[in-house]
Amino acid sequence: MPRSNWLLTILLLLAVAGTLTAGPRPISPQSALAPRPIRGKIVDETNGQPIAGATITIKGTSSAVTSDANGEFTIQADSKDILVVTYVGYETTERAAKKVMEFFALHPSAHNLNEVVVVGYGTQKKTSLTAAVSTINPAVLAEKPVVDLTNGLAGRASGLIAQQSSGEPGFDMSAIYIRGIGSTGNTNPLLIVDGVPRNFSRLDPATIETVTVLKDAAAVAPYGVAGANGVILVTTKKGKTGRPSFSYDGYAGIQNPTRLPQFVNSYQYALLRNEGATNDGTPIPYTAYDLQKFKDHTDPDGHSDGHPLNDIILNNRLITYHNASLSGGSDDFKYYAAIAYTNHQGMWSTDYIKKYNGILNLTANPTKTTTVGFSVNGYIEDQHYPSQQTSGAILDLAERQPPTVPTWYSNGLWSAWQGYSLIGIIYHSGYIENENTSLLTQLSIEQKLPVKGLAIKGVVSYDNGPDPLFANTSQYSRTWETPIPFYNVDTTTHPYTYNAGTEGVGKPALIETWSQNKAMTYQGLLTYAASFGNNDISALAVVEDRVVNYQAFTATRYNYNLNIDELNYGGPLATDETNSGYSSGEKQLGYVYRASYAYDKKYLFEASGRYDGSYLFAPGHRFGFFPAFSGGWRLSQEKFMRQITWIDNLKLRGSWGQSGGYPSTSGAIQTYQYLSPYNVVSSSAVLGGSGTQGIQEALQGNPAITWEKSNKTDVGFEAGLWKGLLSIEADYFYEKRSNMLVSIGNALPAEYGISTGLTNGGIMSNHGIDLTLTSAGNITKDLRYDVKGTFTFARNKLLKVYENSATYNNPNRRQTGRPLNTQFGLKATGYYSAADFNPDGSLKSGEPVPSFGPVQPGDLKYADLSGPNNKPDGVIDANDITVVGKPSVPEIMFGLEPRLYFKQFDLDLLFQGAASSSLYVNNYFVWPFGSSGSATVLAFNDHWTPTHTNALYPRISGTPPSNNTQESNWWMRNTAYVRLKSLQLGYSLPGRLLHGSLKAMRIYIAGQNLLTWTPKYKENIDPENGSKNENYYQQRVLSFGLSTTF
Amino acid sequence: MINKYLVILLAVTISFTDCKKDNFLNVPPKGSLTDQITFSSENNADLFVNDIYEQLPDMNNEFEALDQWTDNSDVGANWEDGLYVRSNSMNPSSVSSGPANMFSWTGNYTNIRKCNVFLQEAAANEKNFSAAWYTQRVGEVHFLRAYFYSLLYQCYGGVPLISVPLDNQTQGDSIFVARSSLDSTLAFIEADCDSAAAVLPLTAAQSGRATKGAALTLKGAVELFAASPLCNPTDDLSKWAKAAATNLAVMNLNVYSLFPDFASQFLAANNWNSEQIFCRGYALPNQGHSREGRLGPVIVHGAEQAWGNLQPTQNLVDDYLMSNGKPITDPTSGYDPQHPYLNREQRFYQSIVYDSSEWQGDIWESRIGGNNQIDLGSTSDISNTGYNARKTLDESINGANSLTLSPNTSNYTIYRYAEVLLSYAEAQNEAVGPDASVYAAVNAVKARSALPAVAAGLSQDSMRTVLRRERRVEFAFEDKRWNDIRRWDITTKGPAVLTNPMLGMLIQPGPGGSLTYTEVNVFNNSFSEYMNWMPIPEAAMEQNSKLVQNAGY
Repeated sequence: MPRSNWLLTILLLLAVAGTLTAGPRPISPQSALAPRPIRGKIVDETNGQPIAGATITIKGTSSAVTSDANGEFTIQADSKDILVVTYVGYETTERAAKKVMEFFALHPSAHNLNEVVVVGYGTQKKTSLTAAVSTINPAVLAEKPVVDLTNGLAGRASGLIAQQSSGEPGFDMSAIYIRGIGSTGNTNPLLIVDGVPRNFSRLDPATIETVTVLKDAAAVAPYGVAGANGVILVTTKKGKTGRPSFSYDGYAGIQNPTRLPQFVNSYQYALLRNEGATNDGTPIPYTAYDLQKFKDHTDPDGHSDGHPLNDIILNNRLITYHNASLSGGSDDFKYYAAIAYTNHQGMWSTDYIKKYNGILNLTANPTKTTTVGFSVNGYIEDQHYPSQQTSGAILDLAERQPPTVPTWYSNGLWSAWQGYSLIGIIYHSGYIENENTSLLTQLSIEQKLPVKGLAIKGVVSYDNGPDPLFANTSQYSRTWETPIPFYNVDTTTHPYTYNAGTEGVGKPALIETWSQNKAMTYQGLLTYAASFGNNDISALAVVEDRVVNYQAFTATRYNYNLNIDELNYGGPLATDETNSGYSSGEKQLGYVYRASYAYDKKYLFEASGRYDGSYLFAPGHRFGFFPAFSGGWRLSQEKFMRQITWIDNLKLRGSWGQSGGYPSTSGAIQTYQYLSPYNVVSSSAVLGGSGTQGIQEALQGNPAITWEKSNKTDVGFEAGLWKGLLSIEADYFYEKRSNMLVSIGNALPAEYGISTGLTNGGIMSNHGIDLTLTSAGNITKDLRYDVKGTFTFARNKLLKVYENSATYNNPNRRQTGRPLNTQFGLKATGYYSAADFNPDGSLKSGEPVPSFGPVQPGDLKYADLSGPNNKPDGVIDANDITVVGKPSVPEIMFGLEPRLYFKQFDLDLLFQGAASSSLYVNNYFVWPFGSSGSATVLAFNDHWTPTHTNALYPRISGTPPSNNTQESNWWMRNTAYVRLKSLQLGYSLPGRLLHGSLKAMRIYIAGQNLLTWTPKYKENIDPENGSKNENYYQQRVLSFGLSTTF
Repeated sequence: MINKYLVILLAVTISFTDCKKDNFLNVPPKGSLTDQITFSSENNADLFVNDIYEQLPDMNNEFEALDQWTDNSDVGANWEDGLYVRSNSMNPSSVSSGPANMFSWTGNYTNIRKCNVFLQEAAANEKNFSAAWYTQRVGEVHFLRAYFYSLLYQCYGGVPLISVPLDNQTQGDSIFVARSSLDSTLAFIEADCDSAAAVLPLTAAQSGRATKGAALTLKGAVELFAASPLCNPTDDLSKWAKAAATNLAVMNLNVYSLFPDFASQFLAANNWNSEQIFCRGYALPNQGHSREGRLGPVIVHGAEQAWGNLQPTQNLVDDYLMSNGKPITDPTSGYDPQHPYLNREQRFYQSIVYDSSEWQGDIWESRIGGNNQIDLGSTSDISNTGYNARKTLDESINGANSLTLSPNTSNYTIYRYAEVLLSYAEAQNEAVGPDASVYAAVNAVKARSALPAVAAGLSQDSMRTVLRRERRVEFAFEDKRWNDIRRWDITTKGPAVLTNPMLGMLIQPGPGGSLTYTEVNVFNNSFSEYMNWMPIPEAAMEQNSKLVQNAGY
């Protein structure tokens, strides 16, 4: 049966149901009495503190006001009206309107029996939840100078480990691991926005209503084959009943790198070079005259002192954000609309992104039993950066370029080194402009059916934007490459002459790329909820069908004679133009269920799961079943617990289930592994004087390929103690992932000649704990606090990975039984000294002989741990490799979020840290002159010499000796860190200063990555950056913001 | 009421599960073909063969020329493999895959599999092809398989001989193949060459395809390797005789002749000339090459233009003869160490960019204070030796344009006729001594470069010295010397070319425009005799327990 038919059926069903139940609309009761001003004050029930910004609505009308900074409000109402007070984090409270309502006490919703949590395909009451989920208060995402949403999550939720390795505008998203790394394949969580798989990272933070992290089997089971890595659910803000409320939020900030490595100046460089040449026995490159000139700077172009990194990175780069939103509505029709503009500058002025977000969420109740939702959520990003090199390559070049080459000559012309010009690339190479677009649209119709508690809902969404699973995006991109001019000084003439050269293309070229990623998602949902005495029952059934189509094409023209960046004006020859194109797709169909039963609101049971099919598998092997079961016991509801007054809430819960993971390796989902295809190669050998096409075997397929299977177990408890003074939520989890794709390449000879389809053979386990502690209370009458602490620990273990016998049989090298990506290397014990050598320079007998080339004093000495027969053999080689470091993704992540409120002031901090991870530092960052590069000041100051043998780094050589650059513990760094990740200090104008339509105003300063402590290593590298420190530097941001409500 | 909906919903559900096949989830991959389609016609199967030709080393787009592994050239940057090789650092955990992946263990076996798949599938689908096409293509693929095996053989010695596509699902443990002996590996390559030579035409219908001459030349080159001291320590003369015979067979084809101009034979205008036996071709728009940008002189007309990755050593420069045919070490040669570039043989000027020589109309100066001052600290791309290569580069191509546009379409010569002549001369000299045919062969090569004939009456040893020097000079920058120095076993013995320092020329200006020439040590080579055979990569050793590592590692 074709899909369109059943879709039609569901829509028909909805329509029929709608006409059956839609009666004439009742007329809203009109008050016959004249309204009068009612005054009141909103306070927190637990501590009596005023609550500013609460919304006070007259029930059944759109009339609403907001409480001022003292919690006070005035509203026109009559005595028959019911006032409804709503405020985030508190229970919604209703009360009849009286003339003076001195204390309108709100109950914090931490204890709220009605608090609901967004879960897969619905919501559940927090109290009846039997699954492990974390929520993030969306308020912590807004107002922070953080553009990419993924960068606001670290430390905010237990069970979430995040790592941000780049700070480049538009490319700075964090990698997120829910409960650590559970697979050798893809570890990305499934991302869901408003119920549909979508990437959320570039949405406007201010428009986010909820963020929920689904962690255990019970929570992720509804996502079937896609759920094993956890799920992050994001919902966007909807309109709220009340008068139109218009808000403006904005900030402006400045950015600087968190850590900028320091490279040597030219004098130091020349000294190091000479030292290296002396050690190598080759001619000394720099004379005393050169050294003097480098030192005294009297010959700035012939003997330069350049600082390429400092020269290209501009200070105080701007980041600005403006958001305007409108919200309001009645019971029948609610709206929320917001637009935002973000300008995020990079470290040089040709690198920036401008983002325009817009959202419109409408909810209407055309009948008493029908709810129609319509939403449009989109953005356009204009991204700009230099055409020729990625930012990583620019930083690599700037770090490598010796200081003896200036960035600019004294006359303002810019230089080049090894044919590459930093200034030329950054400012004179043309541009890349990407227009990244996303449009998420959704129409939903929910109809309550004549049976009480039964409802049916249909959702259709059409998205055009970044794919949540693959790197496919909707993008229009223009690359304009121009010849890159630069200058070289000719010091053979007096005065010096400066000669122009070019790198890059000989004539300009234009590359236009267009791609579109379209997803259609159809959902039909049937929900049922009812209570019979002490029995509460709910049920959910969902059919979800998803079709994704991706298309891309590229058109290129070369040899522009004129500087006009339009395709039409490229070179005239047929060989001046090329084009290419590509398309792909995805299909998925799933049937979801969830059924829960609660007895006496104490004993909770739930079963959920999904029968799921995906195009990734061979016909006949496409569908799998992923069930989960969970239960909870609310001890605090038991009679025997009632006497214990300091326990407000206590729940034990547990879950077990199976979920699936897409078959993947190295983070990439593998498609068509079930085929043994021959691929067409578009450009092959030149025969008969012209190019040809080719065909090659792509892969030896595996028709039996299937999903990763994850068995997840979770036990946890939730406790609320001393009326909010302490809340605890703790979970222990254990996961066993099997069917992970492994290459059997290691089990085949290297002479096999082709890669084989991957096999579902890998097994690993992952276990750990999540912990969330919260506390809130008053320190003095005016000083209120709340604090949230999160802690996550996750450690995995490879159980079966098909490693080769050479590593498996050597206990030091065995990967099985150890965490994934455990770092292996040689064990360096120190440096060779002169005493280790015979007079002829050979190693004394008894010293193990390294097999990486000749050594001399000051080179690294390694432990002879093993040999071909698992015994030390006097030779240092691959047999001596052992564990030297932990994986680079931290096993521990924690956050501490204290908040203080004092009168009009509020202070919000996030200390975030990670531990149990290692970084392999290498190349020129720690090996002077590696990759023909420069050297760091640290290396200049702290390397081995005969008189400084207790040094951080080995002796200097013109070329880092192969012996010293072997991966070893010498180059492993413990990247444990603590950061003052976020700070916000706000001041709200007191009510007496607000008048007219201005309802609230707040000013604040905020900061991101303000301080970083890395006690375990000396290198000047951000703990989240890569080993050569050439990832775009993380930024420290300081911003000033304003938020107003009208 | 509710039942009604449930029934409908259930019906919807069942209608899905009722579909016996889940084909509605198909998303067909458009760029993928099956083996049936690939071998269904000559046209399609030709595309498969094209892909095998494409795997020939793309050395014109490689900046790490193989001469950097030898005493012919220093490296442009200190992280290049040549320096690693000459630092005594070769070991099984980090084996260089060689320039253009030439020596890659897995890469060559991938290419060999392509050949094996073709031979198997073409045979199984023979009915789809004409007999002429089938015979010709099978011959070509035998040649190509022999070529890839020859790369392995000359690097690693005896290797596993695999002649069918391996299949772990049907072949069980027989997919693990032990190394064959040197002799068996040689015999396998010879057999493939013979199969190819038997059916291939004398001249290619399409340039770039293998010919009878190519197959015999490959065979002769491998046999010369096999007869040389590294593989033939007992000096079995029959091996030399065999190599001589095969190279003579190429000469007797009467297809090839020396191209009159030594220098311009490497330019695109002279592609597929009478001397070229087997080459990798290039074509525009997007299959050109950037040899000039990668290897050419760095600073030209004051601006940085190219990467300068061929940096001839003084050791090589010293081997060019004087124009009178005498080596500079001969006291009667007329060589003046303070005017070292005067009156040298023609090939020196055609091969080397040196101080005060002209490149693209600019005077190139490596002297201290010059525009390409010798880079003693290796801080830039500029030559560390005071020389840059000229031979094989097209002077009309600007280095910067070369790097971005890859505009050159000159062939990369894998075999040319001069090699056949010199290989014949060498093999014949070893097998029977310096007879007239030896003189004729070497003199033909010398005469083309205006050098006088080799003096008559040389001893076998003296002739050997002449031939080895001739080979070095004639084939400089053509990636031949790495095999030569190893097969002659001179890396650590005799002239010990990889344990003696690399020299450069330090030229210091003095008063009145005078120049002082001093040979300086620019790199201390270090190499162990056992490294004449490269180590089998650790990963390959670990994956196939039947492999035995080369001695010394």
